[in-house]
Amino acid sequence: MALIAARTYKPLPLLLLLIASVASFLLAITSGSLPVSLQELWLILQGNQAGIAYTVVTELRIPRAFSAWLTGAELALAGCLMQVLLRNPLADPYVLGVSGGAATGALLAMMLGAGSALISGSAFAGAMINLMLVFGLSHSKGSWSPTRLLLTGVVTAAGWGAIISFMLSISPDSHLKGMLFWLMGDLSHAGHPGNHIWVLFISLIVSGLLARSLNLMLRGDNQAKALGVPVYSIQITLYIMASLLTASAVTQAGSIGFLGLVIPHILRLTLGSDHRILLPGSVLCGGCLLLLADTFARTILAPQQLPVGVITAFIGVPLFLWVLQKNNRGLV
Amino acid sequence: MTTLLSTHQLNIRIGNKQICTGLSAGIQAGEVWGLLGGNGAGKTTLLHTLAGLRKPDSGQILYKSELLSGINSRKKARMCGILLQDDESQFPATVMETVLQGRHPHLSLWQWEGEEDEQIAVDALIKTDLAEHKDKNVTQLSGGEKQRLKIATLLVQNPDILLADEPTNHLDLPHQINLLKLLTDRVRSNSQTLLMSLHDLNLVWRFCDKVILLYPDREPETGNTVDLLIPDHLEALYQHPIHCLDTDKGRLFVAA
Repeated sequence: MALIAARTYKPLPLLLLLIASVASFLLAITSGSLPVSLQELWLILQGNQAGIAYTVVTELRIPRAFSAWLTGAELALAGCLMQVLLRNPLADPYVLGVSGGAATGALLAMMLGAGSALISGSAFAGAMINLMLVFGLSHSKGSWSPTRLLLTGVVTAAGWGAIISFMLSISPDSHLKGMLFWLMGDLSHAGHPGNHIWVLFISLIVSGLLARSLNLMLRGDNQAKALGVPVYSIQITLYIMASLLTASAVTQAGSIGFLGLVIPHILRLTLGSDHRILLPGSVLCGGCLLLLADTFARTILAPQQLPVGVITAFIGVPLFLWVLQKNNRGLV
Repeated sequence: MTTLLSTHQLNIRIGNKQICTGLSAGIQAGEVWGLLGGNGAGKTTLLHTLAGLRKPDSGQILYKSELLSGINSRKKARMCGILLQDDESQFPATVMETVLQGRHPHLSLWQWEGEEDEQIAVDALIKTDLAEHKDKNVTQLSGGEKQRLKIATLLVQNPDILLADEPTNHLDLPHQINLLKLLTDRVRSNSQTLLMSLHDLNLVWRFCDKVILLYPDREPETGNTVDLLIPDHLEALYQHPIHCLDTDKGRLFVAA
């Protein structure tokens, strides 16, 4: 019987992703219009307050790097959870309209000339309105079909899209650029991550505990129930967690597309489909990729800043296609 | 003898259609039961109800002496497992990962599958003739191999009550016989029970001690296979004449 070797678990990829995350932090903090060497950074982190570098690093770059990493991590985790909830490989964090609700809130605040704190608050409120709207419309007693949820979400998202187009078309030109940047995803207004870190932390712990059940849920509701998974309550938990993660990410950085769809798939293709690896892997990989993208976005055409959503697609599209190709050839 | 699975006055309806009226039956440890009926008679719905995947409209289901409605989902999955007919999986996973999922109800929240679990999984793969496909992606398996994978998962889950919805689907004749032998031998030697829906009356005759007949137009009937697999019952069941030929290889059934 021992002829067939046991499966091996792979902590190595997670370790590599962790190292990549740390490296991308260092890159993000040291690069920019004012280059900071690693030595200087070391001194600054030890509390050497001399020079402008201290202010730039501690007040601008470190908070922004944290926001970028956190946003990417939240989006990737939300995408991964949404794909389980909807049992659909094409699902992403925005598919149920959370970002549409948030964008409507944010653009409304911008039209009224509100400051960035109010824009964030308004975006979060829009996301929550969407959460309740879609939940209320798609959920009938005791059962929840992924198809019905998906349709409700997609149609609601289309509704938000129409409202957004309407607002864009009636807004004065002076507001338009800010609005478009917000829609494409932009981290330049992201403040200190603050409480957002808890959204990620708690979601990662809870989804980590549910990870084995999530593996089963991909095989269908009945199969999961037959193997002892309380499907309905997990679906509600997933829905709320994915929505909150998305709302938190969108509130910080606007609707950065693509990450939430692609990161889980890149990892599914490379690390396999076990959510116990996939969930922490998505968090690390999503954070790392968005942080790198943001670093590019603010340095590549400096002093001009690009919307980071454009860069994520520039990096993400070829990366995903490459992984997909490689996997196709390498199938057993 | 312990009764592992029993129903009392079970009524099930889908929409306006009554598919099971006043079913009372008790399945003993070590028994193999067949569930017979035409297309749309409600075999799948009855099995799903017995597995706790849907609620009955009225009546009671008991696992041993416990009411099904009061058993939590993890414990339920250790007591009863079901081989489902359809497969909704759209995401890639290897054969080994899939079969190991049968251990889910036996593991606690944080626990990872250990060597013992892997051994159980490997055993099940060997018994179902899938060992060589262990590292394959499930999407690359043929229909029959997928069916065997589902049977292997059920073996790994190892509940006392096994429900199987057309377990012979997609299987070639030798695999039909071998796998039904595997399931029924295991159930009999471990004092478990098996209730399976089957369309092939010859297999029912060969493997089932008792049967439940789900008639299209009257209350279901339960009894010994020998007593119920006779022409007039079968004709009423399928609304089509069935010939029963007694030969030296046992009774053979042929649709007229």
